[in-house]
Amino acid sequence: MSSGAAHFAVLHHLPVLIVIVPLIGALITAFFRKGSIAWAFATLITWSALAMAVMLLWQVTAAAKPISYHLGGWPPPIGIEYRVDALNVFILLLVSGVASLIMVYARRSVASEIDQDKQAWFYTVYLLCLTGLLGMSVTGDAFNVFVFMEIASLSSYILIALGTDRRALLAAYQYLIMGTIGATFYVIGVGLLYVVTGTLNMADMAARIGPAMATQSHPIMAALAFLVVGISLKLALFPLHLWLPNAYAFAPSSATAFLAATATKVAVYILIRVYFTIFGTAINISTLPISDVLLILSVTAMFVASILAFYEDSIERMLAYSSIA
Amino acid sequence: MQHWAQLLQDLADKYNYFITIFLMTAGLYVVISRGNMVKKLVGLSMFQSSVYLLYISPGKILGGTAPIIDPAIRLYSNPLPHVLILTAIVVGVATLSLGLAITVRVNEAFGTIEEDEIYARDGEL
Repeated sequence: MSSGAAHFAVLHHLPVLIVIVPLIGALITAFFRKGSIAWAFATLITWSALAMAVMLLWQVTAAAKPISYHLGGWPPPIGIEYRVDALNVFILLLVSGVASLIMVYARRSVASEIDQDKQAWFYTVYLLCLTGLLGMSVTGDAFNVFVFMEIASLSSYILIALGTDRRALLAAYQYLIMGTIGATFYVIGVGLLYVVTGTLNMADMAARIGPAMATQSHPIMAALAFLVVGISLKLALFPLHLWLPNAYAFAPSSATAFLAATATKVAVYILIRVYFTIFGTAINISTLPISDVLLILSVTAMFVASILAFYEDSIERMLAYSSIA
Repeated sequence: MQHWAQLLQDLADKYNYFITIFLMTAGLYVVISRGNMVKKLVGLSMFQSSVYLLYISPGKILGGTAPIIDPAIRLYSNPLPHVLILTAIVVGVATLSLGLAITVRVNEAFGTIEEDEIYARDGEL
């Protein structure tokens, strides 16, 4: 095989490489003992993830249609599909771009906040979190989203618990409880949909919900409710936001910057996916009060959280409230 | 009278779902109502376990075997829920162990794992 063909083959595998490279990178980072070497390596990984996201953007724009990648060569309804389209390629760019920029200044901030022997672990967990967030964005399989969601959340609990204040532990614990409840609600929703439609592929699910609505509308509605509540917990929608200010205030500052800029945005993206890709074509959403409820809650959140932000004395908590808004 | 008979019949036919719902609500209730951090994690674990049952029970066919391609095997259970739940169990174990690890650290830092006592000592978060 010529090197040109090999080059092309690598480009063809970008949708999965953007997840695998940070994952393997995290594993390797765990073996470094010195913080600065771990930092250099993790920076290399995040910037290569950014480069891959840019190449994916270029590929999607050039192809003008979604890229569908079949894991292990199994075609979609049976195998897991990674699907890159115009929406989630921007999420990929946002997540990897923010992660790369934060890494540049993370070295000094981490050196001042975290013990020398724990710094390599910080970068390991940081890369794992990046893996989870990129995976959530790129996958086209509803259960796969849950797996990546848990990778991202478990590592973000650790990132928060690494904070210097002992209250960081409490914040991480609260976040763990709320995050796990949210993820479990999401799985219950996916389970109900799986029982009704017999598939986990999002596009496939969307096609089968429409016919199923006629006979089995109750489980589908219940699934929608579980999914929306579960994801709302993750994205800290207004009445479910209580874990967020503490988590952001006590985490190491580079972790706060990373999570605030990416984690909730990816959760919003998942909500959009569930709402429009899975249910959009099947159910006439305007007949449901969900969009009204979401709208009212978001507007309330904007005002209440912004007002709370005015009265917070800690700048990190202030930023956290503005993140909710 | 007929109503009750119908209800009992439903209970007997769909008892697996009633158990699932009971575990789910009981687990969630424990998480909300208890102040002890270990007890909360026990509740959380129960809540997660109920989901395993939710996935497994529709996939199981009574008398069905493992899905092996063989002319002798006609009736088999759906293998996909089992695989999914294997993943979910791993996630559950990871969550539980991380939660317990954080609880240990909290105990080292605060000397207690009762949330009331911690908040009384450090003020509300």
